[in-house]
Amino acid sequence: MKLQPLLSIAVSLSLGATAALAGTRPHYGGTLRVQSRDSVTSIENVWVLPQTVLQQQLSELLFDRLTAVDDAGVAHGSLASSWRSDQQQRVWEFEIRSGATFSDGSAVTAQDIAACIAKVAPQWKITANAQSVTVEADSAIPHLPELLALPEFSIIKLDAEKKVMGSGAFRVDVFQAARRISLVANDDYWAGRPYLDKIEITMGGSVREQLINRRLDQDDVAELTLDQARAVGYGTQANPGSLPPQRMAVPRPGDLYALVFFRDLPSVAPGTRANTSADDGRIDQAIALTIDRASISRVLLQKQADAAPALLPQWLTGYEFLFESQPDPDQARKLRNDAVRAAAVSIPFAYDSGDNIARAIAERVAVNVREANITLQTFGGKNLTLDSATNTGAQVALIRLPLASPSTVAALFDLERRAGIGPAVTAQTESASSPESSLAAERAALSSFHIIPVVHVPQVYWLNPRVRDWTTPANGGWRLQDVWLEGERPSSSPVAVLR
Amino acid sequence: MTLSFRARLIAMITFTVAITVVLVAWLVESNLRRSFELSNAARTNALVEQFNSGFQQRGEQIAQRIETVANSESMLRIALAAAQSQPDLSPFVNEAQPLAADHQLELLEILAQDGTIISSAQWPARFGYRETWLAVLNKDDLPKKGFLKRESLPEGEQLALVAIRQLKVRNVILYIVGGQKLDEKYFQSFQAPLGLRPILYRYPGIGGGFSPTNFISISAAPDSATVNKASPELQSPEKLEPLIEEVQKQHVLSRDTKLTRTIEWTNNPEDGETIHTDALVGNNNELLGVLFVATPMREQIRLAGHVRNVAIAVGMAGILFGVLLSMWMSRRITRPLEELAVAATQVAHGDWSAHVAETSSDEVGQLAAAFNRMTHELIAQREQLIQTERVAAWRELARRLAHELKNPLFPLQITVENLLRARELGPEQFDEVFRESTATLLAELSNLKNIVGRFSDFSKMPTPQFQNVDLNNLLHEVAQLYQAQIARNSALSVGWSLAEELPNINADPVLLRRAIENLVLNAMDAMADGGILTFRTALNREEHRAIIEVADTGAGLTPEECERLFTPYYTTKQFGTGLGLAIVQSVVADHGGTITVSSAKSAGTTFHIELPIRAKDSVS
Repeated sequence: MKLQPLLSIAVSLSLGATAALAGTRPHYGGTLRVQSRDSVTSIENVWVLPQTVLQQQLSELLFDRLTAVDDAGVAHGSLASSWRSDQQQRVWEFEIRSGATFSDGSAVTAQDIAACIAKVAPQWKITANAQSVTVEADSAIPHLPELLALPEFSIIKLDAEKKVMGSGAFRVDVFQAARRISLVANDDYWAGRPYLDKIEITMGGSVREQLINRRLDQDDVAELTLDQARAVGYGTQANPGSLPPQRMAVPRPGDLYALVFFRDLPSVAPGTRANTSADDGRIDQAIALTIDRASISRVLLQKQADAAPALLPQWLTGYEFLFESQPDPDQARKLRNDAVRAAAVSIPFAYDSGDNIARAIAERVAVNVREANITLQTFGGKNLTLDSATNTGAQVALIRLPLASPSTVAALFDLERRAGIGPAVTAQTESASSPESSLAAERAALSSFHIIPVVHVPQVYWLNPRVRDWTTPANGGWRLQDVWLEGERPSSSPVAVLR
Repeated sequence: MTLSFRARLIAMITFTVAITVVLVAWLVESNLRRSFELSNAARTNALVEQFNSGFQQRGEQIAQRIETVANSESMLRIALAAAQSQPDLSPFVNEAQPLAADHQLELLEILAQDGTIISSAQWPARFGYRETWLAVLNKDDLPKKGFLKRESLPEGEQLALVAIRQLKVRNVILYIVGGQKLDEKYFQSFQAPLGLRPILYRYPGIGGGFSPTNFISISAAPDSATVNKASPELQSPEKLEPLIEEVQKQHVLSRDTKLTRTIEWTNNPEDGETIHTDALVGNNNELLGVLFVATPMREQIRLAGHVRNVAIAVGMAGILFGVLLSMWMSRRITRPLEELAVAATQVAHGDWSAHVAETSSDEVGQLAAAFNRMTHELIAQREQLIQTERVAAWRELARRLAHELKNPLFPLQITVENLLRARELGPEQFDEVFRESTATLLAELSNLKNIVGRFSDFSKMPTPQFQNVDLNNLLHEVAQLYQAQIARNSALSVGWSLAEELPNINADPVLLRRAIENLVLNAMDAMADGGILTFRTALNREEHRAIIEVADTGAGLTPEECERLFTPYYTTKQFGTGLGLAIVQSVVADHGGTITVSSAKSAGTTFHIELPIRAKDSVS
C-alpha cells in the first residue's frame, strides 16, 4: 500500500522529465508563418531566374540542383551524388542520385536534369546518360559544381497542366499571386522530410501589419528592413528607448544595392555630344565616380551596411578593398564635360518604392551625381526588379541583388548574368580558377560600367522565440529544412523519418 | 454746291451738339478709367501690404519655432555629440525630419559650424554637403527675423522664407535653419481681393536664365492655386520676361522696382491684365523674386465699352435731338428771313404790296419791320409818282390839246374876224370873202374834227380779237401795202431776215398790222433820203417768244428820245400827234408782249417786239 504512492510519484516524475526533454528536442509538425516584404506573382518567375530574396528562397525550398554549396563555398552533392572531371576541367560527369522524385512522385532522371541545364546554359554541351549527366564546355570550368548549385540551375519538370514541379523539401499547396504562398512538406524528400509541416508565407504586408503581427505573436519569421531592424534593437546605434532587444537573424551583408544601366546613356539633346563613340561609358563612369559609398553606409544606413566598391563583399572575396571606393567629383565632371560639353544631362532613375532603403540610397546617389552636373530624375516603381525596371522608362535603376551563392565564382557568375553583362565577361568568370582570376573577372565586369555597386546590406529577420534551430546561410536567406517549432505537434501521424 | 442758310445752321448746331456729347463721353470714360486705375492701385497696394505683412508675421512665427528647435533637447544632444573630441554625428542624420514635423516647419536643416549639413528635413540625402551661403552671413549679427532665401530642394531651387538660430555648446556652434517654401501652398494662405491675382516669379540661381516654370500664380478664384501651366491665365509666361528683366535692371541700378505694365495674354484685349511689380530681396539685398499683382482688364474694358456704347447711344440721341432742335431753331430763325426773301422777290417783280409778318422784336423782327416800311414807302412814292405822272400827262395832254387846237383856232379866229370885217364890204367882196372864209372854216373844222377823232381813237383802243396769225406773212402783207411808196423812192429798199421755223401765234391781225404799219411809216419818215427797211423775225425757244424787228437806217435817235418815244403825244416829227408809238406799245401790251427800241445817232433805229407763244400756238 505504501509503495503505490511512491511508484505513482516516480512515474509522474519520469513522465514529466520525458516531456521536458521532448520540448527541447527537434520534432515534426507545425506551420511556420513568414512575413516577407517581397512579392511573387508567378511560380515560373521563381524558377527562371530568381530576382528577389523571396524568389531565391522559394527556389531553395521547392527545387533541387545537381549540387549545393556550403557556407565555405564548397560544393556538395545534391541531386548529383558524385562528380568528376577531366584534367582540363572542361568535361564534367555528374552521377545522379537515385531515389529523388518530383512532387508528383515521378523519379528525377538524367534526361530531366540535362534538359534543365541545357536550357539555362546553351553554350555547354549537355549529355544525359543512364545515371549520369555530362557537361562539356569549350574551355575549363573549374567551379562548375558551384555554378550548378545556383538557383537558375534548378531541376524542374512540367506536369500535365504545364505547371512547374520540383523535387525540393517542400511543394506548393496554395498560391495566391502577390499575397500568400502555402508550402507543405515533401514527405518523400530524398534528404529526409523537413520538421515543419507547412510554411505560410504572407507577401507584401505593410510595416504596420508586420508590427502588429509581431506584437500579437502571429508571425514566426519576418523580414525586416534596416530601419525596422534598427528600431527593434539591431545595430550599433540602437535606440535605447525602444523595445528590449528582439531575436533576430542577421547574416553578413551580402545583398548588393547597385545601379544597373539599361541602355546607352546619356540622354542629351541631339547634336551636343562631344564624341558619339563616347556616349557610353563616360557618363556612367562619371556617375560611378561621384557616389560617396562611405557616407551611404556609415551615415545613411547607420553602419549597418558595407560600402560596395565591388560586386561581391569583402568577407566573401577578400579582395574588395582593392577596388577604389573614394568619390572623385573633379574627374567625374571632366568625364561628363568631355562626353556632352555643356548640354544638360538628365537621366530617369528608378528605385523600388516599397523599399525605404532603396529610396534613401537613390536620393543620396542623385545628390552625389549632381556634383558632376548630371541630373538623375528619381522615381519609385512598385516591386521593382531588373525585369520590371526595364518597363518603367528608366535608363538606370537601383536594384537589390541577393547574393546567390557563398561561392565567389558562382556569386559573380550569377550577378553578371542577372545584370546582363556580356557573355565574354561571363565566360571569363566561368573559367576563373583562383582569387586572382576572380578579381580580374570582376574588374572586367565593372569596367563596362553597366552595373555600379553601391552598398552591401544584410538580410535581417526577426524570429519568434519558438522558432528553433534557425540557421542562416552565409549568403543570407533561409535554411528551413532543419527548423522546427517549439510547442508544435504534427498535424497528422508522425512520420518516421530518420535524419 | 451752296448750302442754304438753314442747312448750314442745322449742320452747325448738330456739329456743336455732337462735339459736346463726344467730349462728355470722353471725359466720363477718362474719369472712369482714372477711377479704375486709382481703385486698382489702392487694391494692389493693399495686397502687396498684405503680402508683406503676412510675410513679416510668418517670418516672426518661423523665427520663434526655430528658436524652440534650437532650445530643444534633441538639439542639445547633437551639440553635445558635436562637442566630443572625435564627434560622430551620423546617428543624427535623420534628426531634422521629426523636429520639422514637431514644429510644423517645411524646411529644417541642422548645420555644423562650417555649414556642413548634419541633417536636413527637406532633403535628407544632402547630409554632409556644405551650405555655402552660411559663409557670407555675418555670424555676429544673424538676422533676428525671417528672410528670403533660395533653397536647394530635390525638385530644384525654391524660394523660401527662413530664419536662422545659433546653438553654442562650449566651443561648438551649430546652426539651425528652417522655414517655409514660398510655393502655391503659401500663396493659398493669402485671400487676394476679388479680381486680383498674385503671381510670384522666382529668379533662378547664378547662370540660370528666364524659366517659365518658375512662376507660381493663383487664379482669380481664391481657392485654386495653380503653378504655371496649370494656370489658365498664365498660358504665355514668356510675356512677363521683359518685365522681369526690367525689374532686374532697376534693382541693379538701385531704382524703384515698383512698375506697372499692361500685358495682353492673347489677341483679345479683354484677356489683358495690368501688372504691378514688387521686388523680393534676400538678406543681402540680392534679388530673389518678383511679386506680380495682376488686375484683369476685362471689367474695365467692358465697362469702358459699355460707357462708350452708352455715349454713342446718347450721342446719337443727342445728334438726333440736335438735328431736331436745330431744325426747329433754324425754322424759327430763317422763316422770317425766308418770308423777307419771298417778299423781296415779290417786290422785285413789282408786287409792292408784299408784307412780312413781324413775329418778334429781335433783329429779324426789326428787319421785317424795316422791310414793311420800305414797301409801304415804295407804294406811297409810287402813288405819288403816278399822281405826278398823271398830272404831267394831263398837262402834256392839255398842252398838246391846246397846241393842236390852237393851230386851227387861230385861222378860225382870223377867218371869223375877216368875215366880220367883210360885212362892211360889198356883197360881192363879202360873198367872195364869205366863200373863202367858209371854205377855210370848214377846212379848219375838219382839221379839228380830225384831231378830235384821233384823240378819240386813242382813247377807244378796241379789245384784241385773237386768231392764228403767221407773222412772216403779216410782214409781207404790210410791205406789199407800202410797195408803191417804196418804189417811188429809188434810194429806199427792203431787206428780209425771216425765221422759217417761226410758228403762228395767237394775235389780232388787224391791230398787229396797224402797229407794224405805224412802225413802217415811222421808218419811211426817218429814211426820206433813202435807206434800207429791214424786217426780221426770230424764235426765242427758251422763253417761248416770237420776235419781230423793224429796222431802218435813218438818222437815229438820241437816248433821251428813245426813253420818251412811247410816251403818248410825244413826237419828234413836225406834224405828228405823238400817239403812233403809244398805240403800238398799247397793241403789243394787249398781246402780252413787249416793245423796245435801240438806236444811235446816224446808225438807224430798230424796234424790237417780243410776243408770247401760248400753249395752243403751234411750234414747228
